Amino acid sequence: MPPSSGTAMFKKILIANRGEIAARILRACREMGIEAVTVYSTADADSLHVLFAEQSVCIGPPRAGDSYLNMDAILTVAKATGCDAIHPGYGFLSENDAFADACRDAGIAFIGPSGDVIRKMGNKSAARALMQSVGVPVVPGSDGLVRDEDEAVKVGARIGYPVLIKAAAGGGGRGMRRVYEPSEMRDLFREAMAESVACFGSDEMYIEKLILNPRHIEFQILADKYGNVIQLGERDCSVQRKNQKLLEETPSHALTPDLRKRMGDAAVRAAKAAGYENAGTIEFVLAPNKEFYFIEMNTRIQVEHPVTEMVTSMDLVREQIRIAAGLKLSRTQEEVELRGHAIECRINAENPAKEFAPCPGKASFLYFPGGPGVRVDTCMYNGYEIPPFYDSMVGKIIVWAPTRLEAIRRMRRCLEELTIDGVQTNAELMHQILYHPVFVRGNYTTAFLEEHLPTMLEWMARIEESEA
Amino acid sequence: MKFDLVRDVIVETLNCDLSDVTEDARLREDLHADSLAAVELCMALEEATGVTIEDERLPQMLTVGDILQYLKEHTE
Amino acid sequence: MEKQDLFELMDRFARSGLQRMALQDGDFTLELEKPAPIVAAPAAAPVAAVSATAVSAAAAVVEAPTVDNALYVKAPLVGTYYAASSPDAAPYVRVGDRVEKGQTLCLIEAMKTMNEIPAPCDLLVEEILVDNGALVAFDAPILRYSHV
Repeated sequence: MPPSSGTAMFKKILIANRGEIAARILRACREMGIEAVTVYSTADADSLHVLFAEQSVCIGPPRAGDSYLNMDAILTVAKATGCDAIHPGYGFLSENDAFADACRDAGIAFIGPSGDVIRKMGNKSAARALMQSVGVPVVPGSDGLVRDEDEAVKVGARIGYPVLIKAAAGGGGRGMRRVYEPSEMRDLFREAMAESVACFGSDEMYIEKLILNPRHIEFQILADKYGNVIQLGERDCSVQRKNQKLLEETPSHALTPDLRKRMGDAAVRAAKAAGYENAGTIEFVLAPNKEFYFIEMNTRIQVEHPVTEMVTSMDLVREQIRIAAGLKLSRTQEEVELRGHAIECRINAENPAKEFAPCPGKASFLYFPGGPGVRVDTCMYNGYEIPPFYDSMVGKIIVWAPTRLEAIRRMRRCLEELTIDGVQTNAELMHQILYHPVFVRGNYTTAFLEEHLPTMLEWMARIEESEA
Repeated sequence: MKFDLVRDVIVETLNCDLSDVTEDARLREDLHADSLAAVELCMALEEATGVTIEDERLPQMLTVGDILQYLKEHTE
Repeated sequence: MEKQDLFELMDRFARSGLQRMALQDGDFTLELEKPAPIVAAPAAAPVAAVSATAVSAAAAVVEAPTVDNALYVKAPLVGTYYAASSPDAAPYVRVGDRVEKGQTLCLIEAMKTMNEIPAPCDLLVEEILVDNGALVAFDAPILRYSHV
């Protein structure tokens, strides 16, 4: 039976976010006849989510820690303005289990899973064990700490090379070593442990299979309070730089119908095992030999959700609100229909030629593309000043077309139409990607961008010279 | 594999004249397909016919006839 | 820039939908900003203007500061403003009071914690800008004062 929240729709929702996702959530609320309250920092006084909201309250100075991450300020406004629910968007507090608990304790619905589920899925080894228990494949690994070289050699032999030695306390590549041959294991293991002790003061080491040139495939799931769980197909997010996604598309050129079914079923099993509720994403790595492994679960709506919306004609933010309000999913798995092809390009205020340095500034003149199958989600408008304190992404261009090639050609046209004066963006780089044969052929992996970036930057430089 | 289906895909993808698309027409020399256009044609044919074209065979497909032959082999 | 043009410009700005305007004329610069509306009635945001239901009687929110050279004590956090320590107690300060630096001017409640807002300097209370129990936004002006 549904918990006490009953099935009354929310009257008022507080949007605890900024930028394009805040504008996106505002639009869903407006279309559902729900009043929205937005919050902003002093740096965002002129932002879209303030201008468009019926009610908007300044909650702090520019620094995210004092504003968009300030749980007390956000809950204070939610209660003072009589909000029934809070939508956390992505980033900021969206995967903060303490915040989800605090909302529940304040009698305000958190539009997302419970704090417990966020905690459970946020703990990597717990999530791994849970996935294994329901037969969702995980990256083969030592399943626990590797104490010394002898054990490392045994684990290496069991898993099969190449393998990756990782410091449990590691991050940013420190205390990591790639081992391609059994003969290298002893030295590299000693090296990695020494580095881990030096960097993190910890000698806890893991070993897992090293998957070379993988693709990053994630599945969108929706789960309501009645145990219904559906998956809405995959998103291929392999075009990324230093784990930052730049382009996402669906369907993935790498998935056959059979593989899609197996991965989709695994995603649903993962969500059910986690007791998941609301919108979520299961991330897999897909090896060249078409083996796939669970990586992690994102317990929030994601930046790239629009490509799924375009091929399913579903409004995922609306679904999130319906679920949190206690309604059943609006479609069964059989009723989910994936049609055509969708591609999203993220538009970031950054300069790819200068190590992707962020370039906040004032958009003195803006023109966004339109036409058939084109959607633009952005927080920018003519004369908007991009504050330097937050993420550099200022919008997304999403296209839909019956086939992948038509979608690629449509996106090229859109990027040619896009005009943003006064701000340096990555639009030209995205345009290059859409003309690169490896991307167009569809057989690209997560190594694609960094491998071909130099040539693309060179093309861009040459174009600039010819135009100068 | 119907010739007119393949012909229409070629005309649309390479923006060439219907009359130029004969069995012995060479993609690069006669239909002016550069390397990217060849990749796009391959994609369009896969999407139109449902037949997967392996990358290794791409370089050997020099004429319209080669394409038809490959598609015939892979549809029976 | 002649004084007359200045007034005309300011008048036109006031009637326009613009929120903020900056003007440079030689070495003369002028910056005008409209205060976000104090009362719950939403600014001329296109969406809000469309839907009549949006103009609900939500709690009046005291908004961001105005631009003039008066002195304000501003809210250091967002929360509910209380003029007195408890409903039946006398307010901490009244208009015309002389207040010493550090003396409590009012309370702002956020998540059950009562935050005392101290006087930033010795001051004379000129005007209290917030109603008891109203939600004050961060940086919103609470009290206008002058130096003693």
